[in-house]
Amino acid sequence: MNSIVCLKQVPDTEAQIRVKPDGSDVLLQDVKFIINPYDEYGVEEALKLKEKFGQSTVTIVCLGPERCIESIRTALAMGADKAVHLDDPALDGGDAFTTARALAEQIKGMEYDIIFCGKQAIDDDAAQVGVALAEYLNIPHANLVIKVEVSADKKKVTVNRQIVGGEEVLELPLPCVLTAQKGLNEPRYASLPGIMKAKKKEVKPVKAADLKLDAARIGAAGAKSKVLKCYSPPPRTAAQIVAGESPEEKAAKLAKLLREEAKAI
Amino acid sequence: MLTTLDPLWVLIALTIFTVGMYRRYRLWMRGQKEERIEGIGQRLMDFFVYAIGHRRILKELYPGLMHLFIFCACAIPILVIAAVQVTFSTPHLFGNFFSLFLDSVGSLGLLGLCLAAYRRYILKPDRLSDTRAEDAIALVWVFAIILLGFCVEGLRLSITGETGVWAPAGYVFSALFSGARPETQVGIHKVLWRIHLFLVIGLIACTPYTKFLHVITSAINICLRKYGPPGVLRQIKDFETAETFGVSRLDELTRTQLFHLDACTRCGRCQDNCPAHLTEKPLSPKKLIQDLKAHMDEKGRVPGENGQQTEKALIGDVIEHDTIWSCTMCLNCHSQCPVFITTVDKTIEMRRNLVLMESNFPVEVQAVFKNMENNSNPWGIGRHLRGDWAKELGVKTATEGASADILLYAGCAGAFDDRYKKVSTAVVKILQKAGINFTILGAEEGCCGDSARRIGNEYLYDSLVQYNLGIFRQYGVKKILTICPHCYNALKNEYPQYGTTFEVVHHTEFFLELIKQGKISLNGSGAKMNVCYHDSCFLGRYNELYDQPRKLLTSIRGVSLVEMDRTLDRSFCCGAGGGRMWMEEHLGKRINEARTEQALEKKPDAIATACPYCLTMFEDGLKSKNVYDTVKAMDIAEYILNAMKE
Ligand code: SF4
Ligand code: SF4
Repeated sequence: MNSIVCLKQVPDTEAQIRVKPDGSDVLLQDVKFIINPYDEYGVEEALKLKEKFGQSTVTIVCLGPERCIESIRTALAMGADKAVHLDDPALDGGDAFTTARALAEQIKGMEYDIIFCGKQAIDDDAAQVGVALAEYLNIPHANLVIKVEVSADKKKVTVNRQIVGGEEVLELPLPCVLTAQKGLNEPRYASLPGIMKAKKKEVKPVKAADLKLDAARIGAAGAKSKVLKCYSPPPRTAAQIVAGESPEEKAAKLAKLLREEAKAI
Repeated sequence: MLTTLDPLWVLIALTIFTVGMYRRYRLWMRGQKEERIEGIGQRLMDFFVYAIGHRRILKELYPGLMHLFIFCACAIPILVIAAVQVTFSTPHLFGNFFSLFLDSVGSLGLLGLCLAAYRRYILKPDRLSDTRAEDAIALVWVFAIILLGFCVEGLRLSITGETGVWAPAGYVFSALFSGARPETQVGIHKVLWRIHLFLVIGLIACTPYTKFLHVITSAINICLRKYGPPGVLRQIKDFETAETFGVSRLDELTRTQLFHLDACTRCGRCQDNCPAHLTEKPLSPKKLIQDLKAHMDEKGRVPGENGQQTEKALIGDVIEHDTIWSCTMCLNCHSQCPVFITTVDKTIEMRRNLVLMESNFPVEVQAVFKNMENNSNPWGIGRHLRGDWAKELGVKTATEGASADILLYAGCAGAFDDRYKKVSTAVVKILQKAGINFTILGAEEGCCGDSARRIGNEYLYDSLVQYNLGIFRQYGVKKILTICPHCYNALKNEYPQYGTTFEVVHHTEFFLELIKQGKISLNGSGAKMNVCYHDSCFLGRYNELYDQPRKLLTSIRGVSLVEMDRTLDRSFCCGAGGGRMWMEEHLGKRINEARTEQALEKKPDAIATACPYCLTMFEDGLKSKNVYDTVKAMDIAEYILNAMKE
């Protein structure tokens, strides 16, 4: 039962996000990075499958700059066996599609029964990579997965997906791509021996050239979407409490404010 | 009186004794090697003060005196009386007064034994709930020895016709035999004397195998105690090379830790003061030690004797997980133990094993660890916001290049907790009014790591310490003022394990000094107010700051202190120490509510604390008791600031 987990490094949920003065991107200096929490569910699920079936390899595949090694090591410390790090400036500036394509190109040559992705990354919230990856690999996928049950013969998987107002149960043949939703599991906390062992586990560096994709299809050049402008949301102003003698008076004032100040009605 | 065979009996007894002691010794030596024990002079002093002198035993009057009586009745005669009995007369060297003295000692011994029996079998305090047959046998045994001693003395008086003035107890017993003919008396004397002798010899022989062992081990244990600030945890230095962390097998404890197990007298004073035990958690420090001891005994049995060697796991089978997680590390058990047995050093090693090796801890703790890792505070609030609490206060930060004599260390609570931000603000205002030149670290400050460490995550603690040390070094910090007692204890007593030399003061010490120097003067409204001060464990037992906070409060006009029954070094923990602040309390009664009730018994107008955790715990307690609006809980800094206003 070999699993691949695609992992993205993202800024910590509480990190201060500032925008570059020219609005071209966000500033990532002094920011604490973490494993995308949804990807972490994927890591945990892969480890659980490994524990259940034994004789398995869990491989982390991560696309991102050098700093991502820290997150890769964290996943290895949790118990993943090895990792592939797609680290090349040529891959920078891409979007979900270039990422999925590069990942697919890398994964194609690997042995796997199942691929886990997070349902989305918490930085750009695009929620595209997992699904696009499945398309590029031409295998089925299910997203927003909150329960995974691989059959004993390792031929198919039954998953519960979160849908509005309930759950949907699907059966997929393996291999397939599953994108993890909160609720799938509780990711483990790496043990200290795990952390120490992770330092010695194999992390294979992969360059753009190794992927044999032409330059126009990777990184910024290959992206289908371009960031035009980044800006911070306007600071929230304090709420206003509408005062008045009677409810009628308050309602009248509120209507006036909504019309004249907020221009909402 | 002695027969030629007697030396043989004594020899046999001594052999049994030696074999027994050697067996115990082998058990202790299964533990890990430690550094050599230094300070022989001081240790000898301790022996006289705490073992012979009963200093700690006498902290509780009834059991204290009871023990002292029995102790004297055994120790003193053992040293001398043999000679007296053998020679049939009182040694002239000591004279009659000595005889009188011995008689009193023996009588008090009997009294002590009666008191002990009355307490154990009639009063039956909770702490003696684990009474065994052995306890009764021991009492009867010693009682018999003393009683027979008196009988023998009485017979001697009767036979020799000596006056009983100098041996009144013996004289009383002589009446028992006065009817008998002199030859019969001599015969009885001989028989009783031999029984007396054999009971003594037998007692010596069985010492290593029974509760009498404590006579030797407890006394030695007193001399083995750790000096320096209490409760400082062992530092792990070899993260990179060690294969295992913490303790999951008995032989991973140190030799002194194993020795502790044999030094425990089962007196139960620890458990009587343990907040976990008193709120029905599955932890009693006495039981913890005794369970470990039973495990040690079991492991010590030669395999084959009882079938197989024990397969019980230390964590889980011998000591339950909930036991390990229930400890608030309040040190009350350490303070109360008459023979200086410690439990926290064992609990922490088991926690370390669970956290570092097994990643097995209460679920809610994982988020706390991650928050500390990513944002250097337990709540996980963005670390760039850490300095925001002081934004409006006009405090210079070290980052802005300000240099000052004192660094005010806000701590996570002082920086992030809405309630405690008011306290850190009060501290700043007091310092400003007093004209103190100080800085803060603002967003560059990090978590001190106390909670991480006490939950057992030494690796995380280490990384937090390393970060802080880097910052302290960068700004050349020499003196740190802390608000939170947990930061205080960590920086003051535990960071020195990393070679730090900066000075650390708590705001209560510092403010008292400011008052003494006349830099702040307190007027207060003068309104009469009964304030109940709750000792934080980390200020009190860990650092012996008992007076300073009280003096501060009483220097406010109108304030009178009311003390809870459990106060000073017996103060009852608020429930949040040892990382319990970050764990759910789903077993037994809530500790903070128990403590709040103890305070409310004294009908205070207000409650004073000097710790963010205690404050939270009290405010929650007051809310649950529905008196939040009538009884206020405030930090001492807030009292001081209020009193400075007028
Ligand atoms: S440190 Fe406190 S909570 Fe822990 S066992 Fe001792 S008395 Fe109980
Ligand atoms: S640990 Fe100390 S206080 Fe507790 S029962 Fe043993 S001897 Fe008594």
